[in-house]
Amino acid sequence: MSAIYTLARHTLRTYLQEKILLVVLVFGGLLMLSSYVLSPLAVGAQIKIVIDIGLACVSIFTVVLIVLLGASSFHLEKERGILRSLLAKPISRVDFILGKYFGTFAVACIVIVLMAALHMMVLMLCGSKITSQMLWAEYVTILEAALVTALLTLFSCFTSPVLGSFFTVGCVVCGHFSDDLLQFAGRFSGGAAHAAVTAFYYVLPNLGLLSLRSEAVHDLAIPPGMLFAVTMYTVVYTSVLLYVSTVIFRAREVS
Amino acid sequence: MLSRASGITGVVLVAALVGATMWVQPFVSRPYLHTNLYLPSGKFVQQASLGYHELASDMVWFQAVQYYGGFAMSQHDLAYFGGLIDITTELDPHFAFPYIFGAVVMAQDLGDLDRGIHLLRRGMQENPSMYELPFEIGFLYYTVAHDDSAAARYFDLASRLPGGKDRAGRFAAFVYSKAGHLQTSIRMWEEIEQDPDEQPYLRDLAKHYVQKLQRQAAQQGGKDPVNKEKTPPHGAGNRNDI
Repeated sequence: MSAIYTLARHTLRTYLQEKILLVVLVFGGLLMLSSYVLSPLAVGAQIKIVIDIGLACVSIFTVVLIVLLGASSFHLEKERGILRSLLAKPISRVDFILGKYFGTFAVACIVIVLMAALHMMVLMLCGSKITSQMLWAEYVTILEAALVTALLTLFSCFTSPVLGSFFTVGCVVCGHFSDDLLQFAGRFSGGAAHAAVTAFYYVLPNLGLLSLRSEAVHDLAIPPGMLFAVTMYTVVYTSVLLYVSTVIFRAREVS
Repeated sequence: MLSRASGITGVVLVAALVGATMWVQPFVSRPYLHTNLYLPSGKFVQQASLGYHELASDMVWFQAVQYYGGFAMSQHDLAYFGGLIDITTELDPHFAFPYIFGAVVMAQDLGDLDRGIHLLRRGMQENPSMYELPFEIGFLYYTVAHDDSAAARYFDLASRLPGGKDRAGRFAAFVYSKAGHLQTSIRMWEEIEQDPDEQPYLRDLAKHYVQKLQRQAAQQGGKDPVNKEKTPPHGAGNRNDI
């Protein structure tokens, strides 16, 4: 346990020194502030624009940051020989994977909290009240970050940084299309095609569930039990991804 | 430190960039391109927005407002306005203002009341507890179609929804007033124009329609026939009729 903590802390400290983190934060912050400037142009939707842009910024920039930071770090450690010397110590490969995962996830959480705080400030500047739905929307963005980080960890175990990023972004895109996959499956009246598309629907992460932006913007009630169900779904899905990552990583040679 | 030559090169390049930027400005807006003509359907934009459809809706709404602004400045007609509103509302069905604004413009500027009413009814299906939508249908039935019965029914429905009691009730009273249609329509628009809670853009639009109707009244030389004693129209208040 202490090995995982030490590795996670080391990963977090390394990421916090990266310039890309600052760039993403500044860019995201500027975009949020721009929504305040743009809002008078959005007739009848001044506050809506600020909420929409803010929530979308938090989600998009978090995913971008996870992909940019996470994809290369695994390989850099391998290239610099850090990975080999780490594994020579009493640190298991499972500890390494989990340490990396929690370090990356911690950075994502810090970015989400900072950007969400800025978003709330911009909203208060616009005279809007902060609703519980907005806070829950930020919470599910943290869940989304947990899942995307696990996807990246999995792909980093067996591919190059470029392919790892590509597969992660591909899964994120497909994850937002998953509801359409189910509709698509309905077009086939049984048979192998129906079974294959339905299987894809259940295998891919359903990222549409990890968005409460509509509820936050229009102050709609969140269905009872949804938050708990979504949290459990993310925890279980992430655990499965990390388990597969450790299985793959244990089977691989580290040169 | 920069050398003198690099400094001069920098200044020349910046000046050239300013010149080039000014040079291309006349080609930025080319009316024959009709960019709005190639707008895809709301369903497609929803897929392409990868779950950020509220944000995509805002972007299309920006475009719709700018497009209407171009019409207001007599730059073009409103051929693509309906399409822009449809995409905005398909992307974010709970975004209420485009239904209201779109329906008013369709009924008043495009002369297509049916499409405006259809848009508002679609909005009602998506937002059944929002009194503004049936209120607007009643308003359009009264001011454009001069259909007292339908207007009263929708005002009555609006008055039963949360937040709509005062305003819709007041407008329902207008329907039963003894004044002529034109004068009552002017009063209704004035009410919206003077309502501090109303969207400023809609208040500006209301001001424009008040002036238009006043001109119309002046042309008729006060010949707006005063209605006979109005009785509540048949079926008013029956929610199931709507």
